[in-house]
Amino acid sequence: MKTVGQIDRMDQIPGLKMLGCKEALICTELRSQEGGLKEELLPDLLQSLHGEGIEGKLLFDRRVQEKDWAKVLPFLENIPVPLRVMDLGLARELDRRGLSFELDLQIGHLNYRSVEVWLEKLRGVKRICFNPQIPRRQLLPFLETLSVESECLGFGPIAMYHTPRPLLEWSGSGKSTHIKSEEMGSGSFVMKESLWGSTLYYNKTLSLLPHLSELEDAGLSCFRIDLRWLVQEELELVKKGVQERVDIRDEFPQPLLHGFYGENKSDSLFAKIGGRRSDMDRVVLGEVLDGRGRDLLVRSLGEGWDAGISVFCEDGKGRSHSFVFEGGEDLDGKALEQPGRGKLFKLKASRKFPVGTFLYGQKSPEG
Amino acid sequence: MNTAKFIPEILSPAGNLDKLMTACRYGADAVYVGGPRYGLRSGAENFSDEELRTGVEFAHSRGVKLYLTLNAFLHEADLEGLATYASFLEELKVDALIVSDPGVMDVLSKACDIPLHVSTQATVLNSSEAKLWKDLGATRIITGRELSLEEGADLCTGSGMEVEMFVMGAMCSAFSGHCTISNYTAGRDSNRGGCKQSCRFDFQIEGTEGSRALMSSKDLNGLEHLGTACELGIHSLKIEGRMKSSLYVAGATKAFREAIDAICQEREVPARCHEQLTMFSNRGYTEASLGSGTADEGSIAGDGSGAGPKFAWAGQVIGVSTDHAWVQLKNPLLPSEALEAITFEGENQIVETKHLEDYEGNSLEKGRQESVLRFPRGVLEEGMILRKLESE
Repeated sequence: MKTVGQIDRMDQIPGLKMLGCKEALICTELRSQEGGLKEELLPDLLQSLHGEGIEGKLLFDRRVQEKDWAKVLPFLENIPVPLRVMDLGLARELDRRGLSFELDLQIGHLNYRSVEVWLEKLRGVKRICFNPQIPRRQLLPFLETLSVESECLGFGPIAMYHTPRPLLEWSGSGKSTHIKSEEMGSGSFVMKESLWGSTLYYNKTLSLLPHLSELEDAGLSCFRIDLRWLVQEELELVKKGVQERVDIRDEFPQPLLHGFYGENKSDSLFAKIGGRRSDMDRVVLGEVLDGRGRDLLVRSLGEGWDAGISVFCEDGKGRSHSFVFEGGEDLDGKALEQPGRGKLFKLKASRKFPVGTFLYGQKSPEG
Repeated sequence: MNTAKFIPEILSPAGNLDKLMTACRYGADAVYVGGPRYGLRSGAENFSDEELRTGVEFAHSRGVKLYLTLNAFLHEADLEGLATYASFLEELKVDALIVSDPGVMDVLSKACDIPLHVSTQATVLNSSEAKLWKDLGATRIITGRELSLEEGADLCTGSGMEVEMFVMGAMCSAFSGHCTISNYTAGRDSNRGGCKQSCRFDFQIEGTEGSRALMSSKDLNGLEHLGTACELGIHSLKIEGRMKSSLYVAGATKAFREAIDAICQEREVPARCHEQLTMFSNRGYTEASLGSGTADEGSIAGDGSGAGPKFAWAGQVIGVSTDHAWVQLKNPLLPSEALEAITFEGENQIVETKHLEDYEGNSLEKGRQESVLRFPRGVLEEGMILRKLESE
C-alpha cells in the first residue's frame, strides 16, 4: 500500500520524505477547490519531487461551469502532470482524449454500484478516491472487488462544506479564520477561502491510522495523508502512527476521530425515515375535521363506507370507541349512502371526537 | 430548441396530498413529491403508497405531471427494495423520477421505463457531465443552482437533454449535495434527509463582535428572469418548498403561472405576481446566479433584509355545496377580520366575514384554529386558500 501526501507548498517536501510518501497530491491556486500553490511554481515543485523519487499529481477538484469550458479545455491539451478530478464532465473530457486520470468520488457515491457505473463509462480511470463516509462494513468488500486502484483519506482535515461564494472576503475577514455558532456547541471551525470559494472544516481531524492493516489486507492501494496543516511535532506523531499502525489520539495535540469508518451513526436516523403508522388489521376510512356540533364533519379517506359496518376510533385519551355507520349527509343536506374517497360529509355519531381523529374500518381478510 | 412562444413547465412542490391538490388547482404543469424512502425531505410529511396513488390520479385528471424524488445518496443496504418500488411507481404511472445517485439511476433504469431526471443534488454544471448522465438513461438535468439561465440553455444545447432550473425558494449556499455539516456535527446525514440547516445559524467570526448568518443564502426569486427563461427555452421552472405551507404553494404557483402566461401572450406581467411573492416569510430575495452566473455579496442573508409573512393564512375551502363553502381555519378568526380568497386565476377577491357560522350554520363569536366554518359560497371553490388581509 502506497502512502500519498497531499501538499500545497514547496516546504512540505521534507514531510513527504519523512512519512515515506511515494506520491504527492498537489493543490494549486488555479485547479484546486481549496486553493494552494501558485501554478507558475509547479514545474519547480515537480522537479524537486522527481529528485526525491516522489511522483507528483495535480488535484483538479474544482467544479467546471458551462461558461468555464473555454478556459479549461486548452489546459487539457497540454497537461503537465497526471490529474485527479472530481468534476465528471472534466473526467469525460479526459476520457475522450484517451488520457488516464484519477477520479475523486468523495462526494456522494456511498454504494458500490454508484462507483461501478462510472468505471464502466470512463475507461481512463486509474484510481478511485473513496468517500470517507463509507463505513468499514461496506468499504472492505468494495476494495476486494474493485478493478482499479483505490485510495482513501487516512489522516487529514474534513471539509464539511464548500460554497463558490467568497464569504470571508465579503465579511472582510482575510483568507482564513475560525468561526463558531452557539447552535453548534462550544467548538470553533476553520473557514478558508480560495479563488473558488469558501470551505468550512470540521474541528476534529480524521485518523484511520489504527485501521491501516485491515485496509491494506482488504486491498486498499493508497492511503492519503494531508500534510497541509501539519506542523513538525504533529508530523512526528503521524509518522509513528503510520509505521506502528497505532492510534495516536492520546498524544496528538488536536482532537482526532475515526469518522464514519467504524459505524455510520447517521444510519439510525435514516432507518426512522418512512416510519409512518402501520395499520396491520384496520383500514382508514376517514378523518374528523370538526366534531364540536351535532354531527361530525368528516372527510372520507377510503372506499369502505358500507352501511352497517362498524366504525371505530380512539379518543384523545387513547380509549377505543365504535359505532355503526348508517349513512351520512352531503353538504347540501342530501342523504349519502356511500361517501367516496375525498368527499366531505356529515356523520351522526354517538359522541363527539377531537379534530384529527381517524375513523377506521376492519381490513378485509384478503387485505 | 429556441422558439418564440416556448412555454416552460411550472413545477411546484407538493409536501403532502393537500399541497399537491393546491398546486394543481393554482396552475402547476407538474408537481414533485417525496415517497416514504429514498428522498431528502424526511421532515416533510411525504406520501404513503396509497396517497401517492391518489395524488397521481388527481394530478393526471387535471393534466398535471407528477415527479417523485428519490434523490438521497444511498448506502449499499438502502438499495434493497428499490427495484420493486420502481415497478410499483411504474404501475402508478408516475411521470418521472428525480435521482442524484448514479447507483440508484442504474437500478431504476433497469427496473422501469419511467423517465429519469438528475437532481440538483448531483450538481451538474456542464454539458459534458450531462452527457454522461444521459448515457446512464437520464432525460433531464436539474442544473446546479450556480448556473445562469444562459448557461442552462447552453447545457441543454450541448447535451441534447431537457433542462430544469430553480426559479423560486430556499437555496443551499454550498454546492447542493456537497454539504456534510449535519453529518459531522449532529450525526444526521444531510444527503439522506437529515439536513439540520446549520448554514442558517448565526456565526461569530474570530476576533469580531457579534454574530450573523454568514453562510445563509437568501431565497431565490427569479420572477424578473422569466422572459429570458422563455426565450432561451428552459424546459422546466422549479419552485422549491415541499416543507412549506399550502398558502405558499398556492401563492407562488399562481404568481409564476400568471407571469408565464402573460409573457407568452406578450402582455406585461401583472404587478400582483410580484406582490404575491412578497407576502411570504423570506430571508430576503436574490436572483442568485440566474442572471450573471455569479451570486454576489447580496445573495447572503446576513444583512438582515429578510421579512416575516405579511399575511396570515386564514384557511382553506375543504368542501362546497350550491350555496355554501366550508373552510377549515388555519388560524383563529374574528368576525371583524377581513379575508381575501386567493382565486385560482385573476385578481384575488375579498370575502365577507362580518358574521361567523360553525359548520352546521350556528352563529359563532370566533372561529378556532382547525375548526370548520361555513361561509356563503360567493367566489369560493373547493381547495381555494384564504388569507387574512391584516398583517401578522
